[in-house]
Amino acid sequence: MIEVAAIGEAFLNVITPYTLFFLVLGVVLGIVAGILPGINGAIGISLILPFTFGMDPATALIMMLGLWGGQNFGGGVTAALIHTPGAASGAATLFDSYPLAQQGHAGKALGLICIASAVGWFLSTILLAVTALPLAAFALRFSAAEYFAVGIFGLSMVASLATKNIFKGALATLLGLLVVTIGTDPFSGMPRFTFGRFELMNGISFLIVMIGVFAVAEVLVQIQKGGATEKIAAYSRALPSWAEIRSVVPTMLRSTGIGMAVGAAPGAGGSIAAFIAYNEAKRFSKKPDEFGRGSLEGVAAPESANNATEGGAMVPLLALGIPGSGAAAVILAAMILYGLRPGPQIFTQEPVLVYSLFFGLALGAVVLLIVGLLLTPWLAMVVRIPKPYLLTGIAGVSFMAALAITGLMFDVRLVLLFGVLGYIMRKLDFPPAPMILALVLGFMIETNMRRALILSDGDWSIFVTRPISATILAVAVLSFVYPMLRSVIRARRAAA
Amino acid sequence: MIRSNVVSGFVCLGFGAYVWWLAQAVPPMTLTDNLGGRFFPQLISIGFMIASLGLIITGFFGIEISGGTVAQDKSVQPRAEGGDAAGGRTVEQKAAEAPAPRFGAGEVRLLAFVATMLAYTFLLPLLGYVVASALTFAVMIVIAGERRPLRVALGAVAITMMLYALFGVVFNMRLPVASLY
Repeated sequence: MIEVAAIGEAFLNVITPYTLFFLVLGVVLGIVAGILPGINGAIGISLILPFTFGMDPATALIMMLGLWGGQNFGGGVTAALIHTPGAASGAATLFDSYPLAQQGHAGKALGLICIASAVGWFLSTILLAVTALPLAAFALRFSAAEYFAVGIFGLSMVASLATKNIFKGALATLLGLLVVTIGTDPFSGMPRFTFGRFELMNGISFLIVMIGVFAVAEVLVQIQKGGATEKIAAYSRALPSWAEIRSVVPTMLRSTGIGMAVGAAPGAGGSIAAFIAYNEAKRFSKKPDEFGRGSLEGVAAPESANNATEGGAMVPLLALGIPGSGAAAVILAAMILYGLRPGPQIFTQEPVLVYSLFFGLALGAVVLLIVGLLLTPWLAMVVRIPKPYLLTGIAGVSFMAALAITGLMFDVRLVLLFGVLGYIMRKLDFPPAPMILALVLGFMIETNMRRALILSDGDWSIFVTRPISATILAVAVLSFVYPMLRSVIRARRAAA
Repeated sequence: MIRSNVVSGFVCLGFGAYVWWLAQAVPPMTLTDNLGGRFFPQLISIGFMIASLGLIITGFFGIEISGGTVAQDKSVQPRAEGGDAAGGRTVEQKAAEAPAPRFGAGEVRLLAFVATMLAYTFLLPLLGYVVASALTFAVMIVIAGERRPLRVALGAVAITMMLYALFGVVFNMRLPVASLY
């Protein structure tokens, strides 16, 4: 399956000035997105996606992957400087980077965050290249029944996503599946749930929903909250010394492994990986009492881990076509928009593209290292933009992005509608991420279910008599039921 | 009883029933496809109603069954003592438990902002990108808390120009032009 010619071509593709320019732009935008409060990887990627339409797919995807990685780093920058993680993935970085910055070592904290991020990102890319191919080779045996099962498995990850109430998680998921059914029925060609509007004939784009429930909803939450922008203290720009970097190498390696594994497992994203890596680093550390007071290991561990989740999440995304997180779901949506079907075939049909993504990711880590170390002191000023201007700017960008998709004002109003829906969901603790996952997986589930039943002449046993399909469905049921059982068992134990 | 859960459960139940009723209009089957376009949406609407009932019943007895990583988060989060992330969450939880939502300045800002955004979608085709944006952004900045007139004007013009440069020039997008004049 590994083709040397394709690898060579991919490498040459990626090192063209055109692709490199957009990779650097993606990383820089990602860092800015990470620094801006409330803008995460999924929002950032959804906002740039409409503007990449004219680009070569590989370049566009590499730009998005760069944004994703840069965002994981940017979240740590504000955690260190103003004690507020700009993205959830930076929450664990807060504990040690902020004390370190307060002691006057802000440059050291930011430098270490940057190096740890780049290391986690680079190593996870290598692991991705090694593990995705065998998984895809296995998945080549899949037909409609198996793809239905994979879709269901993807949905079952909803159970492992953080939800305060599993019924709300289920309702959000099902709502996403319902949104997918709007538009032209893929089999009969008849309009379905279009309410006589021609704008709905092609269905509702993932992007419309995503820009609404993520970006616009975030603006609304911030508007309601009010309040001022925080100030940054003055700091020294001295970077960490070689000896200090060497001392955290084992921590970075261990955290990369953790981040990779957590990222590949469906449902959990960068923030979970970062917390786990932080705890493990403390457990393994020779100086655990320094944790929470500016420990270098405590800074490096979560940052290596949250950047490594990106490589991890790409494994099931490329090999099976299932996204492991909100940002991965947006990348999947982007690939579909470019006419690419992530899944095992992509390795044989588009080998150059896949290898380009690998090289792009690896180079992205290098770009982050350089750009991060050079620009961080200035980029930190982004947090000084007063909130009224920032929120207005984000609202404007959201509208323009919506307009770029189809050019219809109807879609812009839909974005607003989904923004209000997203706001209500946030306020009532309905998680938006499962809805996005369902939105991306819904088409795959419905079409493959119907296709499999056409093949079997309406015999439902096709899903359980084919061994791979049966196994995947069993795993899906288990992964859905297990978290519920666990919480019941835990409640019992607590009561006893 | 968790009132917000019970109420939202009933709203979802009604929505599920509405979708079921809507799906009745979709042809049940075609020559090649014996499941038809109706089956999948109806299946989902049934699931939707079941989940709504679950939310109503557990909400009535005051139970919240948390899923996935929330349980893990709890074991880690006590370390975030004084951390903004943990602090913010507890404040939000308290707000969610409050018996009746208070209608304060935040809600007024919220509704005004949504109304402004909606107005923007009507003004855009009428006044064209530049005028509509500058006006709307000025109103948004005022709603979001900036009251000094000079700064509002400068901010609105600056954001309009920046977005124009980004979308109209760099990304070469066709921005709405005025139809009124």
